[in-house]
Amino acid sequence: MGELPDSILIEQYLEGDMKAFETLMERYKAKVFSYILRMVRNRGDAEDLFQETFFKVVRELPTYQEKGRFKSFIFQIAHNACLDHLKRLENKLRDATVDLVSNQPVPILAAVDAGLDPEQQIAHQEQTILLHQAITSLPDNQREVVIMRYYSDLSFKEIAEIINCPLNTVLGRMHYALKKLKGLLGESS
Amino acid sequence: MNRTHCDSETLILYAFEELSPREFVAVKDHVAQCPQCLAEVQSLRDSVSLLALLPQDEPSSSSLNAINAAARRAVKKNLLARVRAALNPRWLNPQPSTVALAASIIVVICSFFVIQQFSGLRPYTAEQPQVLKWQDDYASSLSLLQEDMPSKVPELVSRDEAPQRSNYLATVGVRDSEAEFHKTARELDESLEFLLEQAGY
Repeated sequence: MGELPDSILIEQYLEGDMKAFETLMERYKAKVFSYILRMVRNRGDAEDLFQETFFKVVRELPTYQEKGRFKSFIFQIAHNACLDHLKRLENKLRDATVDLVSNQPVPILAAVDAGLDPEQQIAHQEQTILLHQAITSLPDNQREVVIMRYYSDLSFKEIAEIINCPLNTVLGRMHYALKKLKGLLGESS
Repeated sequence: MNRTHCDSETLILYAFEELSPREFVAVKDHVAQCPQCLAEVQSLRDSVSLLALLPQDEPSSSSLNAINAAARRAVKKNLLARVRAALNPRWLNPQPSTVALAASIIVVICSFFVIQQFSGLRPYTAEQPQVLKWQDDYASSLSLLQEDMPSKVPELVSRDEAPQRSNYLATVGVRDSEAEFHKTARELDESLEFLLEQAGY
């Protein structure tokens, strides 16, 4: 059976079919969670923001007008939740009341490919950790464009709408981020 | 894109295949002949391929359970609201704003009739100026008749004094008799009533 479009799944869910909702979740949970995790760089916060994002999606679905933009709709909510969180965190840091130990980033490990030999697996893990560190070192505005493009697969035009920036600004940030990533990973290797 | 090289934004869109088919062909032709732009595109593609190493992370099962529970509650609430709406049509359960609006309209209409009843005013209509003109004409006609028939006539004229009356009328030069005056006044009354009826009063 081919994949049902989001619009049909939303309709079925609103008619009471929880299976349809689970299918939607299955489709987007890893992408949205990965995006949030790389934005806030803390697993505990990412779990909270992931729940907050989907609670809002569930609340707004009865009045949501599906026009083939559900993915964009979810990422818009996730993006706003991350921005609010980062602002709150910034304010806390400014007030020096935050417990810095609890906000240390959690190391992110790649899933191990069972087809690789142990040496290749170690090399793969190392490369992934380097990439993660390189992405973490990007300025927030460049990081959000790179990870949103990678995890959401939205077009640059849609990303520009979500982050409320001109298209050329988004393209410029992507350009600088890719150059910087290549530079950082080149230095490390 | 300038004449010599493509700008970085265009190259990004080209590397991610987001240009329109026509633009894509134009950039592709340019890149094939321009080593500098080709190197730039290659560099971008290398960086993009690096991103493929980024893992996809899964949220915890407790987060998923909490979201599923919220979704179940939300859809149940939504379905209940729809059933309630079907059982109680909207017009049986009007919104407070609708009730207030209907009450205001009723009050305005009632006030209009009450004011009209106690003030003796008739509602304004397009015929009103015409009716007022008829009333003026009637009053003018009556005053003309009264001028022609001095107020002393009823005192002077009686059944026994018919000759004096005739003499008096001849003396003052009145051509219309008292009976004619009343007849004319009655005719005017009837005409006015007819006209008022025609005008819907």
